[in-house]
Amino acid sequence: MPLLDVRQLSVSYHQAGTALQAVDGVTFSVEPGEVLALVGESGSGKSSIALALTRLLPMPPAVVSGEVRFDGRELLTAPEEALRAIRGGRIAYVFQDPDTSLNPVLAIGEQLIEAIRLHDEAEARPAEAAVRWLSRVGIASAAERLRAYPHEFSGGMQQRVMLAMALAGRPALLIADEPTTALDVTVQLQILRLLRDLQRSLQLAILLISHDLTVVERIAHRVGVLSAGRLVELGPVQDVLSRPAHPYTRQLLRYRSMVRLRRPEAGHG
Amino acid sequence: MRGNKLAWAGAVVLGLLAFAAIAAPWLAPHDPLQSSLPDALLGPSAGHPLGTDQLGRDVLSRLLYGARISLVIGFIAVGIAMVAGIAVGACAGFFGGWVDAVLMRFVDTMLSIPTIFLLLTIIAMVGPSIYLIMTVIGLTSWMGVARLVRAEILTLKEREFVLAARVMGASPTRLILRHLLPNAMGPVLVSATLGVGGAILTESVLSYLGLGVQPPTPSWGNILNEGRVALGVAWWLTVSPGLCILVTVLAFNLLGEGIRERFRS
Repeated sequence: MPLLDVRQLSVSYHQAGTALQAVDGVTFSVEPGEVLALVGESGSGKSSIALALTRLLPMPPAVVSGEVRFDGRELLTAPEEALRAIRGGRIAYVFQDPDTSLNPVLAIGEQLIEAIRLHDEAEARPAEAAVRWLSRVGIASAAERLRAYPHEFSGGMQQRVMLAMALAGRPALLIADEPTTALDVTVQLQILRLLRDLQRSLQLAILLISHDLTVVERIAHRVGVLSAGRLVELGPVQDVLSRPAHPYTRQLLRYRSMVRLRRPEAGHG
Repeated sequence: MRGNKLAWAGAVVLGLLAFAAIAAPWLAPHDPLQSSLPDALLGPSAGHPLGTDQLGRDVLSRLLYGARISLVIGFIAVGIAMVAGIAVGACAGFFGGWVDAVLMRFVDTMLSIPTIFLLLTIIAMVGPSIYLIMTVIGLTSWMGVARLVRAEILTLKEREFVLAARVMGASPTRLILRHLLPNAMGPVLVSATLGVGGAILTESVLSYLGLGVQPPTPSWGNILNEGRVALGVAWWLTVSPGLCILVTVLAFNLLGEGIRERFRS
């Protein structure tokens, strides 16, 4: 049984009498421990899908229809309290911009401990667990870093903290929405490696939202291509990238090779 | 830099004032309630640095004890206003929709009632007491805070860390108390500081009209009121409480402006 089973998911935004169809009947599933990437350009509906899955879109103006089954349980009709337990507990998120995703007035440790407390009541020593998680995501001298504030951290370190917060609830599924886009190229590589290592050691399923095929190639097992809210192609990464069936996918790949010609160092390593 | 110096001056004045209020029993040269008719309306002298009033009570001692009343009323009234304003503003801003509409129309209604007449009416009906004054001042001055907090929450709730907290499964209460309000405290602190000055001023007005702190308990407002009738012969009776009010309110305003500048940069 798939961990996440999405059928005919549609999202539209209604405002002032006009409706904008952002996601149009998208169907896909994620197996336990699998990394599925959704790629597409800006406005193709990637982030709307990510947020709609656990009903995080403001409704109204958003209208969401379809089925989202997680662990056999329907999420779109579940009561809000049940969803709060699932968010961060079974399904965790990491977003694009770690700088704005951390609360500026709370120390790193406070935010991490809050994440642990929210979903791991059995943890008797959340402060120690926080140190363990910070070390696990590769932050040196973690114990001293607990008292630091977000602005004292670099972007890469902030994203590591976000990852620690996301994983502290021991989720089965991590939804990573452009997790490396806001970072420098070298830091992107470090974070991707970290994400791949954590995915393997924790047997984590990841729904990776990205516009960057290089990122997808490194970490995903399967890839879905979104264009104007529709899933135009879905299959194993090697197949899709080497033998793209849909013209839109071919176009994406062509653009990538153009970027590669200008920035050859970005594609390898 | 200049604004900063003025803010520091305000803070120092308020520190001294708070010290004077707390230490009033040790600092006051006389019992503030002890009348002595032979000593009535004495001018400033070594024994009575600020002179005496019509009943021969020492004005300096009365001012020191009055500082206690004025400061306590100022702080508690603002405390009440802050709690009410933050609660209303946070709910309106966070929940939006009809909650926002209802709460904000209530704020508009409260703002359109002339506060001073409302205060006078309530106190005239219930009878003056310090507790009533604090409560009524607090309950008629929270609307500005509510609007301020609502505006802050409206912009803050679109920030990504709020979404990040929501995806971690935080409840609305937790989002408001832990993630939104702490980020909105800057302007609220400014408004509270300015509000204490305003509340002290309102208390003085009420006491001056005889509806505030009741004699013989001294407050700056009622010392001013009692001095009014002897203005021609004993200027110190009105000038000294008037200066106290002026300096205190000014100090709160300077401090508030200073804090605002700090948050702006």
